[in-house]
Amino acid sequence: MNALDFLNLSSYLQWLGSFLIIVFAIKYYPNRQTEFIVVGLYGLVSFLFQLLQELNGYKYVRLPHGSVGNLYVLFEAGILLFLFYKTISASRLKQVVVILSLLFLLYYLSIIIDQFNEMSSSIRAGRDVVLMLCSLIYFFYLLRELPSKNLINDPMFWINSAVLFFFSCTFILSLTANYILEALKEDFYLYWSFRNFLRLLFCILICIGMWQTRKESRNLETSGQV
Amino acid sequence: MEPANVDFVIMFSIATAVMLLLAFSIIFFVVFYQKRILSEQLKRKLLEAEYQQKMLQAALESQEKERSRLASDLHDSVGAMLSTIRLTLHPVVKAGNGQPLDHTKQLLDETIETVRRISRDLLPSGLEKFGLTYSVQEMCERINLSGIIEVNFSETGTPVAMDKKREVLVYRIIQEMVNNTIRHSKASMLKIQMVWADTLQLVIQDNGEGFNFEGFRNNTASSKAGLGLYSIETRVSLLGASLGYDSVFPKGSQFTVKIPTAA
Repeated sequence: MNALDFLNLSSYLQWLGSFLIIVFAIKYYPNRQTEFIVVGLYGLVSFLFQLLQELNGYKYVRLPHGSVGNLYVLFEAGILLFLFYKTISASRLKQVVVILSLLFLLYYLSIIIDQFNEMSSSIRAGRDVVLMLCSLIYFFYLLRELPSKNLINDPMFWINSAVLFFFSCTFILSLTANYILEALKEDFYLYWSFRNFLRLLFCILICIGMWQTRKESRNLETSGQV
Repeated sequence: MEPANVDFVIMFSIATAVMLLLAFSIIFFVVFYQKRILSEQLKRKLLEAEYQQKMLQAALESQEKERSRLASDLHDSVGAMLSTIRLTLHPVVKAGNGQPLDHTKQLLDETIETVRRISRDLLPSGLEKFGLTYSVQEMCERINLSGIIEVNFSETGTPVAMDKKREVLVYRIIQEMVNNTIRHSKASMLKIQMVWADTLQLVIQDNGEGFNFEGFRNNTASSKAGLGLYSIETRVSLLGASLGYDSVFPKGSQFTVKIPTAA
């Protein structure tokens, strides 16, 4: 198996991960409507962008390769920031999320004007930083609110941990993506495969989070509320 | 691989590992911090509950001591004086034939009886000497004699000797429930059952108007029976017992108290 085969395998697996998010969101959304609709939307957008990348790769669609990825960065950041905005109920912290979103948008627009058709490390690193910060804000919010139930059973804890885990692990890669692409061309596939496998793990963690609500749905059924 | 590439791979690996370690540290910190805070909150709640329990116990003990003092004073001082007055009056009544004196003697007799009854209600002297069952039986007999309500008492199982303080609490619960029934329920009949087994089960049933127990629990019912039931619930919690309520067909109510016989 060469590096390109490895990249393709990892790419299909992380595509499967996006599909799993959609399936779990549909199955469990009655328990947590707002959060899981947003997560399901994230899964769907990821799935469609991956499809677009594949079609672009096979020349069914002719788009500059970097543009699809750059656009995906904006959508991904936007949806996840919206998820944080919806799940944090403290108004001050909500304002911080909004400010971070606006700052990221300005940063994105300022960079993308010149680099839309090329892969951009800067906007990827920026996205990673903003999402890591929002994840930390959410943990701070959790410690302040201190829910009485076990955190391990809370879906948002898993989703938030997945965000922190994935974007912190891929932060260095995002920062050095352009360097790897230009200076270490032959190794780029391996680095990107590593990123794809981490993304698959990210999707699995999100699905585990949504799966935690199965106990809630069982309790609702036994109490006759469903 | 070129040396520059190797250096980059090493730096990339170390930096990614550090970021991963930071992420896991934060996640574990959040989980363990929450668990620690929750266990501290639980400890604090248990301490507060224990403190409240002790305060309640102290308040009730103080109440019992005061009742005991009042009962002694009533019986020994007031009761004795009234008896002396009666004795002094007796020859005068016997010698004369005036109705006012007869009436006075009658009033005095009633007063002496009332003082004795109040003294007995304040401190059931039989409780310490003869135990809980005897005191409850004696209370039932007194009420039957008064004709206010018919009381049936039954006991099954082998009585277990309890700590005197617990017996006083149980007696007060029965006394309070009987008083509530007489005052509020308009019942003509009251059944008191004591079932001795692993626990002491008290069943107090009447054929009165019934009672909005859930309303009392949710503070929506009227407060007429409120204070009495509150003191019952307080004593039940001090005993570590449970209190249940059922309505009885065709009409009436039934209270069931399950009391651990050990402290």
